[in-house]
Amino acid sequence: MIQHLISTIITYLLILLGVAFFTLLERKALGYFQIRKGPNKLGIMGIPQPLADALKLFTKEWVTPNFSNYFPFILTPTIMLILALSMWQLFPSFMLTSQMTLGMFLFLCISSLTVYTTLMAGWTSNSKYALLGAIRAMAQTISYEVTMTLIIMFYLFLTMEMDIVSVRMTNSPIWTITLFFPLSVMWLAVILAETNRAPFDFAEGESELVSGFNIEYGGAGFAFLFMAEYSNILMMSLMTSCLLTSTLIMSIPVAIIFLWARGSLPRYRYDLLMAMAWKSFLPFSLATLIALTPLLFYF
Amino acid sequence: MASMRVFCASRAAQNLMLRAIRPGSFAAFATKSHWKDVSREDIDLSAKGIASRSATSVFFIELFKGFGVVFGMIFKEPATINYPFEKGPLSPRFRGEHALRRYPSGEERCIACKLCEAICPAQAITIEAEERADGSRRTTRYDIDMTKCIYCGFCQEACPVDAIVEGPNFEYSTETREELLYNKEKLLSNGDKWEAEIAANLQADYLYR
Amino acid sequence: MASAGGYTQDLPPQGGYGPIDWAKRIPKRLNGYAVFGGFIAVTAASWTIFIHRRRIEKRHELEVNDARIAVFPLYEAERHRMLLRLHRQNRDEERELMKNVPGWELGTFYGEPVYHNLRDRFHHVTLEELYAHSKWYDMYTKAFEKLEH
Repeated sequence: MIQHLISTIITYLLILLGVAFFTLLERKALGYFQIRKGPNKLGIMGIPQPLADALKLFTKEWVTPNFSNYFPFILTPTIMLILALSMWQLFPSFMLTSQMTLGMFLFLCISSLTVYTTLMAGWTSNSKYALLGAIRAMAQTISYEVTMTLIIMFYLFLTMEMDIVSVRMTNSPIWTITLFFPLSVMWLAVILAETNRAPFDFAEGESELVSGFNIEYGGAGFAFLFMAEYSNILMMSLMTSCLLTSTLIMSIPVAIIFLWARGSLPRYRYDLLMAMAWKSFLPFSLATLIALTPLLFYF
Repeated sequence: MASMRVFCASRAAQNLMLRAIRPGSFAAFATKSHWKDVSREDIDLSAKGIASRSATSVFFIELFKGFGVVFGMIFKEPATINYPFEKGPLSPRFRGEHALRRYPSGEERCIACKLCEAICPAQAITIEAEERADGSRRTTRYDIDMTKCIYCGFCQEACPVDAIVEGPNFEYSTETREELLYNKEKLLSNGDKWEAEIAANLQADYLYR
Repeated sequence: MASAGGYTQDLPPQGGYGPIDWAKRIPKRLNGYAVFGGFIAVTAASWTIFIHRRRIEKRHELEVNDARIAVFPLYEAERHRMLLRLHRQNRDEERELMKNVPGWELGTFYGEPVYHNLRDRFHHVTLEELYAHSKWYDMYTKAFEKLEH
């Protein structure tokens, strides 16, 4: 009991720390991609920058819009962070306290729940830009979830287990990324879209919708949304390293791919994004699933 | 590229006719006239071309090339200037903080002609003048509202005696707004502080003034 | 700042600027056959390795499963023995605890049986009852034992 609590708390603290320094990594990496330096003033080479950012965000005044739906408005960031952190629970973190037999199923459930928090954030702000951003983000996330489920199903068929540790063990003979390379590339695109990251960052389409669904959030609320987003990114990297490669250390390159894609690719067009989800990714992943899974039952 | 000419329809038609009349000699003719086809290139419909094009699109090869280009940028020297310790170059014509200059004798240059006050488009300058005890005309009040100023530099162009100038200093932010309402004392002290730089700038630019 | 004599205007370099590189450079396309061939080779090789390893693992799994089935009766017997010992401990504990209560019969509530048990067969009791005389933490550890490994 006690050791479960302690292990969970340690895990969450380490995740939040990882999230904080992942933002620093992102700013540094984007800086060097654009031939400039990132934050390099604070402390030694700007390393305590995320702590200073957190201090700034949490000491800011809590401003809510006049006509916002107050209680859900302040509740949404909390729910979002709770969902993002509870996603980590399905991975046995410390002393193997919670290895779940239906881990991937729980993963799908929680990642579909995050859609509701996006909608809540947009709706309770009672502001048209927040609502527009939330609707776009929601449509995008739901569309890509279908493909994500299909791709996950393909990799689950390889092992016929839903437990994430067993899924990881599928990769022990050979990395499943090589089994069908286009599917792996599609998986990368899908997790980019699922976490609302560039080039699919329509949730916060800065150029069109000022800041998307989180426009009315400042200070601690924004910090919570931000932490939830980055925690999701790290979770997706971990999931990718479990699904496609055997080693957990591969989650670091995947997390860097998120930043790399943000540095390289321009934002996609919204209608093309939806068309890609429904007309290209969905048929392709479905066809792969139907064509390749019989192989596993035959051999 | 004077010898290069752009593709033109009539010449193309001529070539076609020539090709019809004298099929063998066309190659020789084409080398003589220097034309360049700027229209879209024909799509390579051979099996190899189709394969390479479809490989490019199926495996996102151009996307990955873009990733490679971005990765290559990491190894370039960042263009960042380490600001408080390094600063960018300034032109001698740079228009920064205002200063009132003095003659080498220590006498202030301003003769209260009020040309700067008149020309100031933001009406940021206020001047009051009186006759001094020795009979010379000098200002009793010379205020610049730095929050109104648009740093157009008209005041230093209007000044007949180079008294009011905009110096090279651009780091004079204050904590309160009141500190930006400069009076004569502040402007003169600015002039004393920045005289060397201001004089050098005026010297460097004197041919073009 | 240079003095008036030494001041030089910013001029083009000696001999003028170099030629401007304006031609567009279209990178060479990859050989499509090679790309597709490489893809097919990698995919085929990885499927072969994967299925080969999978067969070996399936065989291994089968063997482990057989071994498990073989030792299962032993495990079950040991479990039953421990259960019965726990029941006996509980009975002794109850006798010790309720010896001063008049009219108390062991395993019943003042002579009234707790369970509806006509044929007098062994009855699996709930975890709470099994661990009624021990610490709550022991019961919890037992209940969530499967999470520990």
